Amino acid sequence: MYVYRLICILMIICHSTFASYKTLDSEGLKLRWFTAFKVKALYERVIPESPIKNPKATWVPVLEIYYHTKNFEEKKDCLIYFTPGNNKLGIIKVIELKTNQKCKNHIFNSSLVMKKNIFNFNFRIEKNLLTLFSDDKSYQYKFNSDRTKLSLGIVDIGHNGLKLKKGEVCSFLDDDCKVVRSHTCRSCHDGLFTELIGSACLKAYKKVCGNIECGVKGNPACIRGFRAISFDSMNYCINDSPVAFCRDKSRVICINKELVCR
Amino acid sequence: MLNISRFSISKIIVFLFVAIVLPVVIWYFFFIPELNTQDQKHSISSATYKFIHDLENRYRRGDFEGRWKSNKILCSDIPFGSKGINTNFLRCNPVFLGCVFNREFKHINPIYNIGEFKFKVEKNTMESIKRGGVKFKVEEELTKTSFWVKFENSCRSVNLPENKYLSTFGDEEPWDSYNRKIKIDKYYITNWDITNRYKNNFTYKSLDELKPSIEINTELKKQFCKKEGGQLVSAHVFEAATMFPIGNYINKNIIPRYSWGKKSKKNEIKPTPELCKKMYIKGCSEHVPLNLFQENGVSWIGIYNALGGEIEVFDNEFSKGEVYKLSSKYFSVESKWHDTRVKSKKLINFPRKRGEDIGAAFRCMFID
Repeated sequence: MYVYRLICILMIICHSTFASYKTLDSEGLKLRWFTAFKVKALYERVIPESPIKNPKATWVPVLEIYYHTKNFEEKKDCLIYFTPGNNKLGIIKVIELKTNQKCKNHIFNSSLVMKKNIFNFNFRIEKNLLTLFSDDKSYQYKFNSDRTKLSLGIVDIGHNGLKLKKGEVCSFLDDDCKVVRSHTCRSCHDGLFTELIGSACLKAYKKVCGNIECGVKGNPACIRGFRAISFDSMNYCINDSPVAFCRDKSRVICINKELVCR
Repeated sequence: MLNISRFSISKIIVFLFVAIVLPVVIWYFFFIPELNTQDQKHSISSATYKFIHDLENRYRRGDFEGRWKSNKILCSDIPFGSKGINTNFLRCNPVFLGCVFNREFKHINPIYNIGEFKFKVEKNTMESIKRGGVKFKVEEELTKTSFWVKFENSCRSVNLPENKYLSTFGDEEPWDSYNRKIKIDKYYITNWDITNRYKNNFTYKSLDELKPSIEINTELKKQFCKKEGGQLVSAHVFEAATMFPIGNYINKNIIPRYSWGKKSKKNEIKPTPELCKKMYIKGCSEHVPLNLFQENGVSWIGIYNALGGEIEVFDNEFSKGEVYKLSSKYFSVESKWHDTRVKSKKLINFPRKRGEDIGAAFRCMFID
């Protein structure tokens, strides 16, 4: 019995000593989030100075923190909170996901950080500072949000993200400006992309991976713009469309809703 | 036969614990720099933040104290003085950053020590990234952590405002830049950019490396800009960046001739120091030297050599082939080429000194 107690104490000491992420105030977590370039609040019912309570006894996604890894790949951490209720106390969890994974679908993934037995929890984001309030403690995380877009990779994930091939669509809004493909042009090989007219949306042009010369036969037509002349954008998809042009003797043709030179 | 009792096994375990494990635990808690207490005035993340912030400030602002200009600072990788170069060239300059990493500037070295933390960067970890930026590895001695940092080159280009513009090419083609983030280089691409940048050779051999690259053909110029993640500046974009903005252009004739807007008759202006600042043309060398990276010929959006300076080549999407801005230091004040609305399809004969090798300079643009 005496020996078993000693072994248990030893295991507890080792566990608390060698874990580098397990707590919200660990330097490992602070350094990891230091490289954050985007923080998204998922819980919209935040009331300043007031703890998150509803819905009771439920896991709610609270924050998404997007950061860069060692190879400047993008990852995100989800901070989720189990609200107190039904005689259970609150729990904070931080889980690591890919940027295209939804937090609410991965609530029961193994956590990077967990804090239990919480009565009150809230957060605040100001400029480049995130503060988490948990009962009588607060945890601050500074983000490096310098305007020159400094990237600071610390955590080594050990694999490269999926690269998109030349010609693959990396950003696209349809005629009603609904997102068909969210902007993932950073995943293009070499990060290069070309704009072309592929819908009537005035907010953004379609983007495909690769640096493709516009206006030559067989390639996308060069963009003149929807506002350069008075023209109804909804009718853009016609031959000789005035919102685009070709360099050589080829014509602007609309194929599969894209303006190309043929 | 060895007869070890239960009590002996317990003794052995206790002995192992005291002799081996306990000292390790005590050593870890008391002798390794503690990362998990909140007693430190500067945590590693605060120190990292300050160091990166100070380093980036230096990278972006270069020699803002003016010490290099007065030849008060020297770097082994920059073997020439300040004569003939504007100090702007040190801004967002990876060679200058390499000198900072080699700790060749005493007045900058204090940024490496923050509290008990000591940061270090090995210059041989530097690598060029697209658009003239650079990445490098930082090490911290106390915590024995290391991480990579990427600095983007925010000095090189300016944004073309989103607007409707008129191109003078073809049938005076209108176009707009709405929802397109177009950035244009302020300065010409240099010889060093072509030969050294992507070889990660962060050193200068001579002043010639800082001169505009005019020796390579147009195809190589296009390839370089593509490698940078952009493209050779289009002629109509250069026009939009340099023609004086007067609102909606109806036709080419109402656009002012000069990039600073004044509509002047032919013989009204002469090469004076004031004019040479607006466009560096033939005759200006008698008044003021043409320094590299000088802020001559600034346009309304902030690019240089809108008129004057070097002959420049552009891509031309509205008609086939490239076009040239002939307005340069080779043509005198009365020349028709000193006009933002006028470009040439050819590099035509023009006056030049015997033996002087003249080609066209270039710059890149980026569309995000």
